[in-house]
Amino acid sequence: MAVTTGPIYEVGAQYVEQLNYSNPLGRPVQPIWYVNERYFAIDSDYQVVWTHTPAVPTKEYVFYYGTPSAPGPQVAGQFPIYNRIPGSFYYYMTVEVVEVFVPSGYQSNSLRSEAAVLKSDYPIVETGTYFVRPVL
Amino acid sequence: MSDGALTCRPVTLTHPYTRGDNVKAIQIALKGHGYDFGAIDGIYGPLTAGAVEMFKRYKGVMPFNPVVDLPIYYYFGVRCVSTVQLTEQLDYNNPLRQVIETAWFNGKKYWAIGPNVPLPINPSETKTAQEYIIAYSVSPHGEPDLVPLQLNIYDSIPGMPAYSPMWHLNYVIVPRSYVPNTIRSAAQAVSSGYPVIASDTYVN
Repeated sequence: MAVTTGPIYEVGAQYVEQLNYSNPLGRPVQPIWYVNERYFAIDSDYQVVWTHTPAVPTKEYVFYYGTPSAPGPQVAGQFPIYNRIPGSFYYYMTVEVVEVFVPSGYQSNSLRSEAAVLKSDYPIVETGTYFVRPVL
Repeated sequence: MSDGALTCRPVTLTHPYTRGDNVKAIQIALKGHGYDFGAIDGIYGPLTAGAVEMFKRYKGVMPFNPVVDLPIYYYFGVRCVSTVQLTEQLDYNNPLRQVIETAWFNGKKYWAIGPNVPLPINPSETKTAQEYIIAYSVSPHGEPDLVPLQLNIYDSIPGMPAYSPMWHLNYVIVPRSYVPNTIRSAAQAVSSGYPVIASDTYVN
């Protein structure tokens, strides 16, 4: 039995201290926030078009500078925020992208949860586009 | 593991005797094959062990001993779930305890995260890949009678142009004499001569 030893990532502390994933097929893995804890998800561009849109979608908040009418570049260093992870009710690995528009003085990763995003009063745009991005 | 299925735990003659559902399933199978060892009591004693050894001699399955392991479960026709071949290459601690499926691609095993729940996607606008499921039959309601121990088969993996994490299910209908995991690639499934039924189900 050939067991590979892959990189070790930090993961949300309420479940386990670390993620150990050898990533045998070299998929792009990105950190995400969920309720102030860091997790990891596979960052894929496989888009899903529904015949019936999920009533309670899993959301991925992605951050941009500017406003919805004049969007700027993506906020460098800000991890996307997920509102659910595996084990949550209604979690699904197909996520709806939700854009959050922040001012130029925004410090990346100062928002780390959906609750904080909604409380921030920054403009939010639900894009209605869905991508398969499973949380590891 | 689905609805109370047994795991293919090896069973042999031990002291004290092994007891449990696996033993009971083995005894029921032995009775079905015409071996008389006494009552079906779920206890793996010398009479049951002797019957197993006779069964293996009759079938020519070596070594001729009282050990019931994965191939013997298959010979018995006992449905059980294998857990012994799941960690050959993938090193993943699965911190969120997600369901992991093992599948064949081009004769090699791969792993996928997925609850395999049917999804209402639009296949004409969503890229899909093909997954082959080996079954004895499919009911009019689309419920397959799956071949035990057989892994599903993917036509592509990440990195290939044809790959998509959204799977279109196809059922390959095989006879009862089919030996599980004989088919290990999409090409084999398509060229096997067995009927292939394309479903209207998409999962990921």
